[in-house]
Amino acid sequence: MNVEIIIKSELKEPQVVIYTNEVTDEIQNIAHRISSSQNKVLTGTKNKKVFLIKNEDIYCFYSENQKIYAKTDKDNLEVKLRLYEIEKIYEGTSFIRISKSCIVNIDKVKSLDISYAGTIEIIFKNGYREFVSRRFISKIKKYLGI
Amino acid sequence: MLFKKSILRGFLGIPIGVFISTTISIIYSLAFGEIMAIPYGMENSNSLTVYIAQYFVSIIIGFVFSASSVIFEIDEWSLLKQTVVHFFITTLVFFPCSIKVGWIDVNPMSILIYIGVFIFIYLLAWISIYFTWKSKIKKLNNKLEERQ
Repeated sequence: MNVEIIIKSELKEPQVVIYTNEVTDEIQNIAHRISSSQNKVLTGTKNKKVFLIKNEDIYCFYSENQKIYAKTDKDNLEVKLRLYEIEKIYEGTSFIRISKSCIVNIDKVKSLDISYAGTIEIIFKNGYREFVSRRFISKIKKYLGI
Repeated sequence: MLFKKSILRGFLGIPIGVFISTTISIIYSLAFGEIMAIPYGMENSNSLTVYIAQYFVSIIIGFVFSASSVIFEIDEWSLLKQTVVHFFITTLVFFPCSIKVGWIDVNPMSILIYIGVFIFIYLLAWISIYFTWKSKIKKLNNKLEERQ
């Protein structure tokens, strides 16, 4: 991949354009890493089709069989990023890591539940549940300002 | 890796084990005014043997109790599973060792009382940990409800 930096004094903000003949995994990865997460739209794939995903539609990112998926109301779409990259990109937003294999969107969370066996679960607004590691509870507390 | 962590912790636990056992021995001996070695199973050994046996037993107990604390860091296990496994590991090591050096009387009643105390301590720990988490979760849920 060739990288070129062109100075245009009339630009108020830097703009990144990727010229390519084909959208590969690498390109998608770079695009995500460069853009900020606040106003960015994620792309996910399912059955070789590429979809745009809005952050507010994502319930959680989870890993399964070495791949990372974004879970929305409609579907689970594969995302070409590693969980630690997602964690970094979404730092400071409502996306919080809750276990080794899951990053959750707190805005989509209804409540937490603790079983008698001492396992903690997150219950999403649509009824989905995800297991939370006790060691990550403090991250949730920090984000909620407790 | 958790295994390496447990071994490291185990070694750090050895001096703690020896310190606790020595302190208890001193307190116990002070009550009687002379050094008390309790040779229940070792009536025929001289006091040096007994002393050294207690030393090694304290090392073993210190190591195992400390090393097994990493069990609580296995996130895939529930708190209940972690507590139960930890209980069995410590019990399986503590009781044979205690009996060997005579810390425990070898009659059924005494043993029952000792096991009872052990179980009671674990129950207490479990209850306090469980309710601590329960109240943490309640606070989080209150905050989450405000945001709905």
